[in-house]
Amino acid sequence: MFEFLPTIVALVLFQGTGDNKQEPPPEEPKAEAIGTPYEVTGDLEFRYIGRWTDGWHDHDLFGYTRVDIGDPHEKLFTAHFEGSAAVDLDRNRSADNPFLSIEDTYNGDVTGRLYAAHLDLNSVEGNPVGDAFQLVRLGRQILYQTPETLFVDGLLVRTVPAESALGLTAEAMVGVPNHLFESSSKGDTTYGAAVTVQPWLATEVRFDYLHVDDEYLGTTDRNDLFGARWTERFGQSVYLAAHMNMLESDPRDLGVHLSWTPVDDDLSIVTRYTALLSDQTRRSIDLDYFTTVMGTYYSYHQYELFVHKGFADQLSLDGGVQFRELATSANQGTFNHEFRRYYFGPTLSGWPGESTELSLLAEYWDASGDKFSTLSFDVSQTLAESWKCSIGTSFDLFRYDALLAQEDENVYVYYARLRHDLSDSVQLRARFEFEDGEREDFGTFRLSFVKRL
Amino acid sequence: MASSPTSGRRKRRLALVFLAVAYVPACQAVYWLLSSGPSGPTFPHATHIEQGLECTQCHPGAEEKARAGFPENTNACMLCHTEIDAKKPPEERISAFLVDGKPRWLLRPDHYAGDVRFDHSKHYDADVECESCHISQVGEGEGKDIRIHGGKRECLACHETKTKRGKDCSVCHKRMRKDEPPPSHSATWIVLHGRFSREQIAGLGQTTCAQCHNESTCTHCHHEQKPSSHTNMWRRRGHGLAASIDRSKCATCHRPDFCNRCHSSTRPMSHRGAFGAPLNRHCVTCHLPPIGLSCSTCHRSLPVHPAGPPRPGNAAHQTASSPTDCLNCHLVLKHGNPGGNCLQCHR
Repeated sequence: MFEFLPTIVALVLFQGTGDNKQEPPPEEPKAEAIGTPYEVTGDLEFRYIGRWTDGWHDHDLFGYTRVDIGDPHEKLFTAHFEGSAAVDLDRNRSADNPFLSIEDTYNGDVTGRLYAAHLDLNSVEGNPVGDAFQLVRLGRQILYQTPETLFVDGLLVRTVPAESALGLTAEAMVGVPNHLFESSSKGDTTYGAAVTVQPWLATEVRFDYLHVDDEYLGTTDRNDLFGARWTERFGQSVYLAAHMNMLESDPRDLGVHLSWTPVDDDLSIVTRYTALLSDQTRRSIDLDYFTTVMGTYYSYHQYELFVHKGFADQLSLDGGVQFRELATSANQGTFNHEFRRYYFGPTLSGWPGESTELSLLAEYWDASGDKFSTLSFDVSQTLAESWKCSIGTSFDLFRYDALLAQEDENVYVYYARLRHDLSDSVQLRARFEFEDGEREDFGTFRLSFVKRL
Repeated sequence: MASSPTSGRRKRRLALVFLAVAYVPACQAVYWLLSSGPSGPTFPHATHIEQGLECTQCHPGAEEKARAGFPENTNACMLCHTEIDAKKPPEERISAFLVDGKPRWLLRPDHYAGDVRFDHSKHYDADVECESCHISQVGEGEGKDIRIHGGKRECLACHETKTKRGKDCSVCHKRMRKDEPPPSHSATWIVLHGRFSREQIAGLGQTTCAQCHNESTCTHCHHEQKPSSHTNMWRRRGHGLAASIDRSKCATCHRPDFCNRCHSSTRPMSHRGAFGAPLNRHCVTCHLPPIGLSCSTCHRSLPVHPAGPPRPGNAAHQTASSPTDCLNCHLVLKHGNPGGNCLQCHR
């Protein structure tokens, strides 16, 4: 699990030497920049979290790094690395420990995760494979453009947009799906292809095919997903995105997003319609809707409207509604609800002090009996050039309304945060949080050291 | 005649579909109404340049001021146009540019949106020619003109390659800095940003988010920074309710393997104290049907139960044939009354 730790150390050391290198002269043309030193950017963060409640303590240490080596617009080869590690300092694995978390499901006290580690061959001058490929990426990567975000250990190849043929771009991918919380990838494979056409600047259409084999608990799920997506800009302010996916031969889901955002008016109106078109049972983990835990996900229609309006850079209002209707109301049950969600939140900037920011957010969910509502308030103040503090509070009410088991959970959270810039690239962050619940109280202290590479 | 719930739902859906279809043209219409100035002729820049006029003759601030400015009146125009306009129809004369006696170009907004700052004089001092930004040739022949653009893309085309602070937001923005979230990214924004991000990241490549963020920004937060709602109480009690209402929201960050890992090895809070033997409170929990499916979150198949404590061997107990017989004597049950047949477990 920690085979990548030496890599983190190496990258940090590499950065240490990189500090002395001069930045490429900005006046130089890009073609000449290939000969300039590799630029290393990213973050390195160490975080301590201490928690306590009635007689129990928990102490953990976390490390996180994200490193980009080289600018893909300038360098033939670039690399990206992103991973984290956690150390359980108190080693308390008692089943009654109220702080048990997913880290405690592993045998060791140290756990690590590698989110991404890939090497890229970019389309710049000197590319040995000519002008054909925009990108060749090898290693652990996250695919955001596919119909479902996919974590893959493998190879991705993307062609350069064709000058004719509607700006056609082709993409192919093969690899092993990366399930961060599974102990074995045996029996897991994935491959896929996509074609994107962009006939003019404001229009893009993409077609995807994705195949996933996933072995879990002795059973292998094999799924084929076909996706189509259309995105369109009307002028500067109207944006339309629509997609439809088919699983095997059945329509799976559909979505239409329309937003109107006249920037000069600091206004944004977003509407969205989404539908799960067929009932979903167990699939490959990458395409599954948590059915192994919550059972069948029944088809539904969902409508959303969000509005944001700013007034003179000082006051902004956010509000929205969200409705879900099941295709068959009789399918309502413990894990399939029709619901209504409402939220509203004003934010005040620069009042009463120039660097003060006040924000309030109220949210209410009503799901055929079960309800929860939240109310949060935050005030942030920049104390000096390098000091910023925030205090805030939030209230959560979870209300279960199952027959004969009605249960209310009222939780009040109070917090204080402090951020200090030790230098242009080093930051210290501290946060204290107290949770006041009806049954339990919790205290949490978090101290982070962040180095921007 | 009362309408059925089904027909009501259908009407509601049709209304929503209609609203969605009408949305784009409605937005565009409002936008055009708000953004368009008073009607009238378009100023033919190309014609005047061909006649040898310099930009600064009409826009005198371009060399020394932040704003290039516009002519305050048409006096200078009339030096030539007194003669020229005599041969033109009224709608093409200088007088056509006047609204209430003032040139209509003075009615145009003379500023940049919100946070953006721009200084013509600094660009002039840096030997940036007017044509570098105002160069688009539009049309052919008599209809040709120069399009006044100057979007962010054109700015960055120079700034990224020819200036030392090319990627520094604060060069053009008053409040935005490379290492500081913009004013819009308040505590509320962090909770609500998802309404834009997925669709905008997925399509058309260069998005507003992409100006400062790359894909690893998403990974960083969605894997390493828990939302403020994910408190200890959320982990212990609240998350199940939230997931049961809208599991798609969980999928923003989590996959089923995350749930499986904890639920296969962690005992829920309810499974403490008297939940197990000897009081076996869980019997009542499961056998009251309205509790529903929550047991199946971890228990994939129906458990095989051993029978409950057997009935005593005396005749009074052995002859009992219904729950009523039991409840005649056992007025208060240790495990509560599940409402079922006592003899099913107490054989």
